[in-house]
Amino acid sequence: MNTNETAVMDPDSVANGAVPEEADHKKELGTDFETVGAVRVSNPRMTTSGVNVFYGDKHAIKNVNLDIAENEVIAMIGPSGCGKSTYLRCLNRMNDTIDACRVTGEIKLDGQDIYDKKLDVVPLRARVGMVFQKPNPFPKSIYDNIAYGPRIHGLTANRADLDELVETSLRKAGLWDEVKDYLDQPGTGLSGGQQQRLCIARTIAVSPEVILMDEPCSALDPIATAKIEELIDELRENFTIAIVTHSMQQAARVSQRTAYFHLGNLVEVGETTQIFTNPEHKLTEDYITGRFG
Amino acid sequence: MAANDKPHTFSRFDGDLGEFRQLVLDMGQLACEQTLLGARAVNNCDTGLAHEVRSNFRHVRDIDMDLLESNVRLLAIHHPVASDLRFMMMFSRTAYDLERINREALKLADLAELHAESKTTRQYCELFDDVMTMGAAAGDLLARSMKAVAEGNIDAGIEVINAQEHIERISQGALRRLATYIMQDPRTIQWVIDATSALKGLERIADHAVSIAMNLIFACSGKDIRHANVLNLNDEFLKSPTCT
Repeated sequence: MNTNETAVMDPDSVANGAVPEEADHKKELGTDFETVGAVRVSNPRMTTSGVNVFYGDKHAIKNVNLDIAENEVIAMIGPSGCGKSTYLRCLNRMNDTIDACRVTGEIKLDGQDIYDKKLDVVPLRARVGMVFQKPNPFPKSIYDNIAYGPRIHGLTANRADLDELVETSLRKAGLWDEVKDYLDQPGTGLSGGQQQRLCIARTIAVSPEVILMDEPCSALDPIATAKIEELIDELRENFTIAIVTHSMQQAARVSQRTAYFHLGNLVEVGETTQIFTNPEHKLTEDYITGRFG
Repeated sequence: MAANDKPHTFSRFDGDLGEFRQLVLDMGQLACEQTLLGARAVNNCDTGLAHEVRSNFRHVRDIDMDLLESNVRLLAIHHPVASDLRFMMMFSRTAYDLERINREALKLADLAELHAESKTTRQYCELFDDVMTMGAAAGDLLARSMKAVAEGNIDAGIEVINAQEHIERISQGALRRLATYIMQDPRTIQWVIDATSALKGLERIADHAVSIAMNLIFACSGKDIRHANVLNLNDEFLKSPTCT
């Protein structure tokens, strides 16, 4: 027997030909699994109902129901491959860019179905912005990185308004004081942490309603991470934020609610304090205490 | 032992937590011995026993210092959450209770040495009989509490909490008997006061044993019952399995 396997084996049973029991965390929960905790909120900004995602034949997200409340930070945690990033990308239809990907169910933003065939995805992705794991500033100046979105969306009437919008966005992202004298310098010349804040500024420049963050700090050093986390806390006043993270300490620090995904199922969702002090489901307990992951 | 008995992905965490737990259990065993030794020292006015309590006091204090260091290290390095965090909190709070018990035992040793030096104490030794009865009861309660912690047994913890009434009855009976001594002979007042002081110290040890049981229930269930109605505990928890 491979001693690295987590299967439980009783020598007597094996001798009698019994099949070893699969470890709990490798067992699929199925599409009829009911999420533990309150998936619905009284003031949702986004609602998802019966969401399933398929990559070809692979059933990646299984019947997920979850509300995201207005002006909250909700963290999505779970082991690698559990579907949290796939679910996140459903919220602004980024999965449309993947040919083999098929999404079913209902996802609404302020009561409007975002998968309605009449809906234009470009303005949707302005309303539901995204920040990625690896900072990806445009190969443009710092100023133009911020100004690009408002220009193409026609959000400002003149140069003065655009200047003000750029400054406001950079201030909100906590970057203004560091770059105000170098706005014409390339965005790619900034440090990793600054680039990520530039990407956040770029996202908020088009006045989104929801900001999706897919492991925004995983490529950053601890100080840059701390600045981003501080920023997330400030942004919550004006935006709704959904963040995928592998760091449970980060999820505990920045979020009000936490959702735990496991093999495509949403196992449990609840107040972050409750999830990290007294989770209800055994799988959640095992994952956050490091019994597997 | 945490509520989750599966090994942590970092084996060092399990090792560190196991060491932390063992230190607390060792401290608990010593605290039980201290309780009985202290009560016996007072009952017999025995300086030898008092000396033993004093020697053990230093040992318990050293364990307490090791525990603090271990606690801080575990929290800083491993960031425990959920049941791991609750159990760490339980062990930390238990260590505090045990340290307080150790101090109460030391006070008993001081009392024993004080009266051993007095030649007139022997005629009043019987006043300290109830101290031994109370000491045995408090020591037993503490032992049961620590056993419940070692096993993660909520039912046993609730039994400890429910046993408070028995301790109170022993205390009240002892105080009534001591009062009769003063009425019969006012010259006994100093010894009655000292006996009362010893009884109160042992009652506090029993209170700490109950506190340890309450910490256990918090660790296993996540519920803080320190201010709950004891009668309701039976309905809510007696059907609960152990933590494992």
